[in-house]
Amino acid sequence: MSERHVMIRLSNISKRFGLFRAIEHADFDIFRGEFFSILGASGSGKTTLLRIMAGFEAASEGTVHIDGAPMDAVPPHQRPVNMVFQNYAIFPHLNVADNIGFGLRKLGLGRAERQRRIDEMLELIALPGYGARRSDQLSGGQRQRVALARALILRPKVLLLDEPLGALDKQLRAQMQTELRALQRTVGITFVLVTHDQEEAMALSDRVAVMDEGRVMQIDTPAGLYERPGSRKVAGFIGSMNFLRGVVLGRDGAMARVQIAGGGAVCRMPADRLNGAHGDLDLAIRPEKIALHARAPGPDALAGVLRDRVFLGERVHYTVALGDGGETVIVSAPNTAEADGVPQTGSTVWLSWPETALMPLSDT
Amino acid sequence: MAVIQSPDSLTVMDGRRNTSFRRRLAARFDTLRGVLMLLPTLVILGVTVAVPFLLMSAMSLWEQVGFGYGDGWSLGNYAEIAGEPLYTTLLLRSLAMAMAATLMTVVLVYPMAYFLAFHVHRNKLVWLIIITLPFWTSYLLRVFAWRVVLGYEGVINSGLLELGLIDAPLDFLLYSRSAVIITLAHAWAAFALLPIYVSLEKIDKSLLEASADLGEGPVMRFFRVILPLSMPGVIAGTFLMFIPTVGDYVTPALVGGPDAQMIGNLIALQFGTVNNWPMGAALAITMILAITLVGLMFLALSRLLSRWAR
Ligand SMILES: Nc1ncnc2c1ncn2[C@@H]1O[C@H](COP(=O)(O)OP(=O)(O)OP(=O)(O)O)[C@@H](O)[C@H]1O
Ligand SMILES: [Mg+2]
Repeated sequence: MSERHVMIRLSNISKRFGLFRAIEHADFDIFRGEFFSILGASGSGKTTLLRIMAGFEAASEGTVHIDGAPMDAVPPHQRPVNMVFQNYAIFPHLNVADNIGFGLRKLGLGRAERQRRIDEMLELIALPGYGARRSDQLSGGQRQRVALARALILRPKVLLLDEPLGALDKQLRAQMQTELRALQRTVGITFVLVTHDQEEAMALSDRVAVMDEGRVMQIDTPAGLYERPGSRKVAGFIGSMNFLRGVVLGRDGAMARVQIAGGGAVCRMPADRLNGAHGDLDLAIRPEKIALHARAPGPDALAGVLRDRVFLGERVHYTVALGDGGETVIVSAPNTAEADGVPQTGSTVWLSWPETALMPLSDT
Repeated sequence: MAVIQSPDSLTVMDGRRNTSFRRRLAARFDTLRGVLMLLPTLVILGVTVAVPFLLMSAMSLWEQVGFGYGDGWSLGNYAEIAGEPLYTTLLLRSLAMAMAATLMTVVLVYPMAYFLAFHVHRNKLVWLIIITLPFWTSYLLRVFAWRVVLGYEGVINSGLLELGLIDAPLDFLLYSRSAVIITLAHAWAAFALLPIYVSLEKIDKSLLEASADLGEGPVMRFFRVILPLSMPGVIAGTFLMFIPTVGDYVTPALVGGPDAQMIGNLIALQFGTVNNWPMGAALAITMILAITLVGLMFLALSRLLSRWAR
């Protein structure tokens, strides 16, 4: 990969509130022009991390660099970042235009230039002519866009967004996601988005940091997180996932042989994924990577009993119990897979998957 | 083809009529309930404010003749008020002194309210009680306390004498306009403090962070966000303090000298020693009108200022 310009560097950031550890050793870089998301459950420390970047919280340990400059002694109003707040924080005493233009005072622009920039922003957020509107007469989506415009008008190096779509209904949310992504491409500013919605993070981001209880668990591209989750927590957080236990039996060149607990079948998977692990192993596999068969397709197939079949339209979900009532596995297949007959619940079925589908997990 | 209405559809229609009727009834009931809930307040306001006000207005149009009243209505009292410089002087002085006391209080009390709203995070109630503690004592006691502080042999004078800073007691401390203004400012401070505190407390803290984020330092944050958003409280506090202090007569009577008397003293005199109730009523009505006028001017000014401050 070519040398990329680091926009935000978090060096070993920790944050404690009293004895409570809100952030532990966050240490990563965010690159220029990147759409970076911080994903995590409620209370995992996402907002705290964002506020440390904005300067509203001081880190207990570690340093934030923005565009190469250390931010230790730089108060929020002097940082080259702007923020879209979780509740938008629109000034109630100002109209839309004055809200958007709030930060321009410092730039010492003339009245005409100020007006021109505000109009440009209103155009960008698709609210032309709304300048004189009182801010309490805006819908949730409009407030969100005003908050966005108010931050973008200052052309910050980084835009920090704290669950900006959290308060919107599902439909508007999807629309705003598309707009947000398009906007980020247009303005070319580094975006750091905090969200607890994995689909949102996946849909919008170039890279995602997954947080859990104050720790950054994994940072990767959406596809990377989906295909190669490093831990059970990350795997469970992103998409749906089956968890299995297995034992490494041995290696044949590039492939490793792994016996799955429950079904007893021996599967093959790329050996380099194991990172030298041996013995007992936690494994994960996505429901849509598994194929369900009414007859044994080969010796590697895992046998099980079909417990349940749920028709979801486009896809069908099967619940299969492995071996003697052991672990259950969810299989998600397109409805076209049932061309040769609907399997009966209670009957024996066989499962198979591509060799690359099985993922080892590092910890619990 | 004949259309036979089934009994079902009939009951449906009936039901619909029924619900709209019920809805209207409920709406009526809501209005009724609102009126009922307001009734005690309305009665009290009517009996204690509106009726006396009307009586006073009527009385101000009478004329005192000896120990009785002359026949018919006249604007004589008002003509006398307009013509006699003493009345106008007292009225203007009262407005000016109340304004000074109000201004002083608002300026002094705002930082207290600010501190309470933004820097106290625990035990706010305790702080609020401590700050308003003086107002738990009687108004008269508070005024007397200032006599003790400002008097010829009062706390300040004896303190300064003791320190050797002065040779003789300062006699301008008590029985002066400044004594009245100081006492009024202290005695009514809670009325200005509480509304300002409430309006500051209501300000969403994330608005301050947003303005910091948008590049404003502490001073501009105050002038561009905190002050405009607390203006309703400042205006309410100003009115709550200004209105009663214009007509106050206890404080000027107790700590004001001859040239610190206010319109309230004159009105009290008319209803007392002078025994010219119609004149007292006319003075009271004039005072109310003057307060209204000043209040409206203040409102217009604050509107203008806040629009200009954008
Ligand atoms: N000022 C504070 N004082 C004490 N604890 C705090 C403070 N701010 C946050 N915390 C704690 O730190 C943890 C992380 O909070 P944070 O607001 O960063 O969570 P979050 O990931 O943004 O959650 P959410 O998705 O609910 O917004 C929480 O357990 C919270 O209780
Ligand atoms: Mg949060």
